[in-house]
Amino acid sequence: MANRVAIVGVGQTHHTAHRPDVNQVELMNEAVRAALRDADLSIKDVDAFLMGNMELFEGSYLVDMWAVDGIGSYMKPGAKITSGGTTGASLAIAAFEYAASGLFDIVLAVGFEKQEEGNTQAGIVAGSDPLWGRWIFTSSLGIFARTALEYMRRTGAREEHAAMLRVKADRCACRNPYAHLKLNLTMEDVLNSRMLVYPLRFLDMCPVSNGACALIVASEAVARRISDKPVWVADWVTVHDLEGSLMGAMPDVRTHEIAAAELYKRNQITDVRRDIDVAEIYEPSSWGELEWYELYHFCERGEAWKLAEKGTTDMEGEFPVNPSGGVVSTNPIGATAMIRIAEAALQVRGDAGTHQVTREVRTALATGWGGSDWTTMVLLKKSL
Amino acid sequence: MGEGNGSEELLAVSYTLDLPFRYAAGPFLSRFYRELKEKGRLVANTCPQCGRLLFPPMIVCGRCHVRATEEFVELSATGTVLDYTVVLQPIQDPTTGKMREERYPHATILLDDGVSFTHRLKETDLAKLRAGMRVEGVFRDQGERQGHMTDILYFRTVED
Repeated sequence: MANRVAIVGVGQTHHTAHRPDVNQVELMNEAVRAALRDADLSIKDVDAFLMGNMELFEGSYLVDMWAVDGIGSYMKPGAKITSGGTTGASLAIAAFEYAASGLFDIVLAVGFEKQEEGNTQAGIVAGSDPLWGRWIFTSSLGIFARTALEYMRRTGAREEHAAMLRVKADRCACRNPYAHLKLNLTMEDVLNSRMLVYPLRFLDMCPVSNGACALIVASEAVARRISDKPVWVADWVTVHDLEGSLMGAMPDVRTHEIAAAELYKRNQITDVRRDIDVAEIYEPSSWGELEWYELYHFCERGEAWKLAEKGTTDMEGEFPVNPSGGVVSTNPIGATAMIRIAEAALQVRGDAGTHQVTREVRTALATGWGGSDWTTMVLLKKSL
Repeated sequence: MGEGNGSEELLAVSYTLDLPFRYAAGPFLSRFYRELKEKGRLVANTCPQCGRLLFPPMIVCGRCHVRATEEFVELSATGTVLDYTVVLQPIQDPTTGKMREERYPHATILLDDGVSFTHRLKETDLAKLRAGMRVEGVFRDQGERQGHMTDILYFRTVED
């Protein structure tokens, strides 16, 4: 790697279903100002900017042009990134790379989505090939339903196991002041919620959220000078597969396994639950969380449901996963994958407040996933 | 949450975008749909490097990044269900923007030649569906086919 970099500021809005009181640019501005406050920096200190969302979801275009006022990039360099579910992580990773290049000392990245203002479903289905997959495409629902059924068949997992993780996520969200859905769910609530695409129920899926998240990244020398608690970015990996409907079968997200193998090898991680203290993973459904524990090697193949039964990944558990409440609780899409990194950074700093995990955090993992089958993984550390 | 003055009326504008688009199939996919429409059969081309069938047919292999062959082979329309589900709630049809009718089963079908795609199943009863079941494509009659994936009506169960 080139220069080492650290996260020196994080900020996010309260995520919610309705924000009629701000426009999109003002929403971004809230997160940017929160990150600057957190880093104790002025906008004048920032050398370069990255911003992004899923433009088609709001039906807008050239959002990077509008954003200049709200994110503070006036007369400064930067770019927009749009990469589906991974948008927020792609922005963060680009910020790491800008800062690591030596060309910029302080870089600000902001991702947002104001889903209530557009048509997310139309945006997602437009991601399928018009002449091959689009006629049958059922968006994320169909993909997760098919993999969930296959997962149950292969491992013996039951609907209850996904529901356990959904209840866990809600317990965490209820302790996170920024989370969107805080429902005080019981197992019965989840298992009796409306069936969408078998076996996916309404409460298994991520919500439609409005919100923004911002990160400030600094090169090593600057981070050491300006920050009391820099969170070091130890490593990151991005892996892309072919377009999903063209791949046909998708029983597993291969990119998760490939990215995890690369990240763990490069960082001498041989026992994930021992070598990493907390994970913030991008789980668009509670079924995704269950299935992906295995692809990220949080456990052996076919045994993720045992982690759910034992509460291993609870906030107070041996290996906490998504103490923020995760994506099933909060999903402003262009910000979602960045929230994973921001929340992981807060855990490393010990600044997650009411949802700080009980286990001491020295190393944290944040993942991203986007359609179809793009994986990002970021490894954060308290000290280098 | 918001920091605005809650006593003032806030404006929001509603609007609908209705925009026409056009998407070129290219020579390889055009050939695929011509074979489907005129001969009622599925075809694929191959990658000269890794040898895999390209389905949908394409000018380049996405894995090897080499130019694909222009020879097409006919595929068997029989295969195996890899995974399946049934859509129970209305969901938007991305080709029209309108909501689809409720309840339709769809599956990943592994054709006997080793390529897979998503298509409809005739069987709508979840209890009668299982991964690994044998299915065969049912094509529309000559003259009714339009060069579209729906020229295959669905895949029906083949009794073992």
